[in-house]
Amino acid sequence: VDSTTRRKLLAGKLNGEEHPCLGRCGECYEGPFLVVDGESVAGESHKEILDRITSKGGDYS
Amino acid sequence: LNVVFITIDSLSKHFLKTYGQTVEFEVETPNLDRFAGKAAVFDNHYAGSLPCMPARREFFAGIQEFLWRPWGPMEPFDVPAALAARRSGIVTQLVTDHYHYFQHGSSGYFEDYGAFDFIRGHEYDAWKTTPKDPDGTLMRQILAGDPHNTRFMDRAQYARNAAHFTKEEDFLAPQVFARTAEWLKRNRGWEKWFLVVDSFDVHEPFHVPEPYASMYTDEDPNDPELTNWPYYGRIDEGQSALTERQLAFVRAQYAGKLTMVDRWFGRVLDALDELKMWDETAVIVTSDHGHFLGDHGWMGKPNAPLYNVLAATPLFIWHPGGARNGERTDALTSAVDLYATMLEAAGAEVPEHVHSRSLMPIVKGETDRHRNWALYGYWGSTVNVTDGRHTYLRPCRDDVDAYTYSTRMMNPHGWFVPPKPQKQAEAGRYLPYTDTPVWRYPEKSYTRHAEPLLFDIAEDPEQRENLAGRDPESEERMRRLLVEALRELRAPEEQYARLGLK
Repeated sequence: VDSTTRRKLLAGKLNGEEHPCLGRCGECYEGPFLVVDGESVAGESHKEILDRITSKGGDYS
Repeated sequence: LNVVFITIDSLSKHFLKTYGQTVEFEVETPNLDRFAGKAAVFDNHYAGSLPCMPARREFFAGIQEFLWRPWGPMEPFDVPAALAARRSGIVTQLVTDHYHYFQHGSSGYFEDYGAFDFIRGHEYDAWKTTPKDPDGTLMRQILAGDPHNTRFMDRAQYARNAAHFTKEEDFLAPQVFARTAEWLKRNRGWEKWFLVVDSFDVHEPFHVPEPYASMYTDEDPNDPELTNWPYYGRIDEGQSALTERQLAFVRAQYAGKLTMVDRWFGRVLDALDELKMWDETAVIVTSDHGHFLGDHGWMGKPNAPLYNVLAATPLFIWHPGGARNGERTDALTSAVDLYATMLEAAGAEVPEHVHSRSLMPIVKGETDRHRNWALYGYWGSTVNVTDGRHTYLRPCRDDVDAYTYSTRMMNPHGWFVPPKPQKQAEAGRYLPYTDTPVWRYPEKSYTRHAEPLLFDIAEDPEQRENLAGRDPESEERMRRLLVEALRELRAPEEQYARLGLK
């Protein structure tokens, strides 16, 4: 997670947390993902996933 | 003496009657109870390095590794217990379903035994590729997704592995302990032997057959809405959120699995009875760590503070010459001490470089005190210490890296997947207990809590009341004890900066 994305995830209304282990080893090795409201969302980078989910609506800013 | 060392993974001691059983059901463990009645019971025993394989390096190499390294292989300068026993002319055997021994991230843990018996199929064990479309109910209960992906460690693996489990004897703990009892019966001809039994149960998934699945719940054990393999994390939010009903079911399945483990563990005791081997055999029974099942609001092991649910582990030692058989001891002891204990009991040589201190003086009644601190933790995270009266959980700074020291380039935050080239690595003689050069490379630290946590476990054994900031005298004493322990172990300098100790 790059530092800008980390700041966006952990601040604001996202209510995000960063953990070293979510018990999803295979997904973790495959590539970046965020767990959003309990569901895994994969993508090219944490920034790209974050941009995607925030652009879909919801007051995440 | 012959030695049997048995570790039962994820065995939370507060589920056992021997340790007060502070849970909502009367979990039946008559065989662990009967062994506890026969053996010395240790009331103040702690894990060291966590989780699974770090605990095994403590057990089987006598090294308290988490200050230097995460989950990884035996190192070339380690002397695995099986190797030390072999060098003393002792026949050695491993019986296990602990598939982590055979994955990425581990090596050197089974190769030194004269023989090993690996029972296949637990959790993510890469055993079966069929059925391509496993049973839908089990898939839902274990929270598996698309079964057709090919990535590492997918939950569908367990549904495939368990597809042919039709009766109790097919499940893992029954196989491990039945084969252990069989080994005892077949190997009487050897003069001296050293037997390690490593049961992955009671570890998740908490998938158990009847009668255990219904033993502690009125729910339908096959209800697809009820998981038996919850995700790790907080039980009140995110992927790991559980309703009260779901949590009650998970706990009941864990309890049922524990009763199943106990039943088959009893076969080993029965074999020792039938063969009249107690007078020539030392038997050590313990666990690597506990498991949060909603305790303190957490599920599983990662990310949570190292409360005693996880860190205080059961330990029973039967020794035919023991002065404390049938009694209890409150001496403070640590997982790493079991290495020297088993080797001394077996009559094998204990190497000098290890962190392990044999418990034989306690077992023989020669002393009531063993150590004045026990350290425990995960690499790259918080560092925790107890004096047996207080536990002090020291957070680390997320912005100060942890270093891995190893002859191997590992994947410090992805233990089971392929290792990664550590391009920042430097080599040198960094370790205080060997003159062998190792790699040294940085990775991100992750704390588990922002502020120190301090508990008086004599007054508050469930660790409900944080005394940090409210009992400055005890807090300062424990902080100093942590520094003393780090100095005694000659911990790497960056640990003090990570922990804000200077």
